[in-house]
Amino acid sequence: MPELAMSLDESVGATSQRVSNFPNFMRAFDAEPERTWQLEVQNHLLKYVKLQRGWDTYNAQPIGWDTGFFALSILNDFMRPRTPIPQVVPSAAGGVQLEWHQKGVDLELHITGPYQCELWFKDHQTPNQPPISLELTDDYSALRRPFDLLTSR
Amino acid sequence: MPDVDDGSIADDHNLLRRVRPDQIVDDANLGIRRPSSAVFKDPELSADSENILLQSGSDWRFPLQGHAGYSLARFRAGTARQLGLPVIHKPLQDNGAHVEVHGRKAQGIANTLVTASWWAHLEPKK
Repeated sequence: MPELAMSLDESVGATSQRVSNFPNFMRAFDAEPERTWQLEVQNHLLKYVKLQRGWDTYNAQPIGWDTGFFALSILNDFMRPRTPIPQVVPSAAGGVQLEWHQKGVDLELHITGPYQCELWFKDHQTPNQPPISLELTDDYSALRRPFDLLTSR
Repeated sequence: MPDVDDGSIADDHNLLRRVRPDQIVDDANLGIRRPSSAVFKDPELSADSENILLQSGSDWRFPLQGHAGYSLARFRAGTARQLGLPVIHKPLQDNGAHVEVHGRKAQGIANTLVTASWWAHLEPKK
């Protein structure tokens, strides 16, 4: 879609322009970590790690502390001040799912333990591209693009 | 009873799955509240056949008895089978309609089940 490509290019150009005009402001604005998401996500995780087996009224597995810590560490690496806060959902497989369904982006990170993560990513602005579904273990670079879209749109 | 899909749950059977309030997500892209795909990740996904409930004089309200605050998602057995998931009738002592959908549900499969599901009952947001 040429129009989309044009608008993305313009958007990137506009950001670069802002940075060059107000370098100190932009540096400070982007560098200051936003703590709201950490509190909100931690509150959910603290609730979920206390869930007992069968917490979904069926046979859901408990959610381990290490799973919660790993979810936080992923977010620490990729969240930026203007990244929307994820919805945090307990998973019937015994884990947590971080998910965003906004700004034309569907992003889900299903985490069942340290380095046990599944990615689901769909960009509604590129409907011809199939969703990305990946298992992630030690390379999380595939998260960069969806987080950039969520942050910049 | 061995875990075999013997076809006794027909493709057009509606399967009912309880959904915890914190497993319902706001989807701003679609403008709806819907089950998270995390609901469907259980490798032995329990549900109830609505058709068997109706045959026994009950209905969708049965799975919600004793589970205040829960919502109820509905999807077809045939959808699960098309995804390669066996649908197994596993009646319980107090629930003859109990069914299990076996198999690993990768994110793509879980999301297909979300897309194919619709609410039998949706609790209002608190």
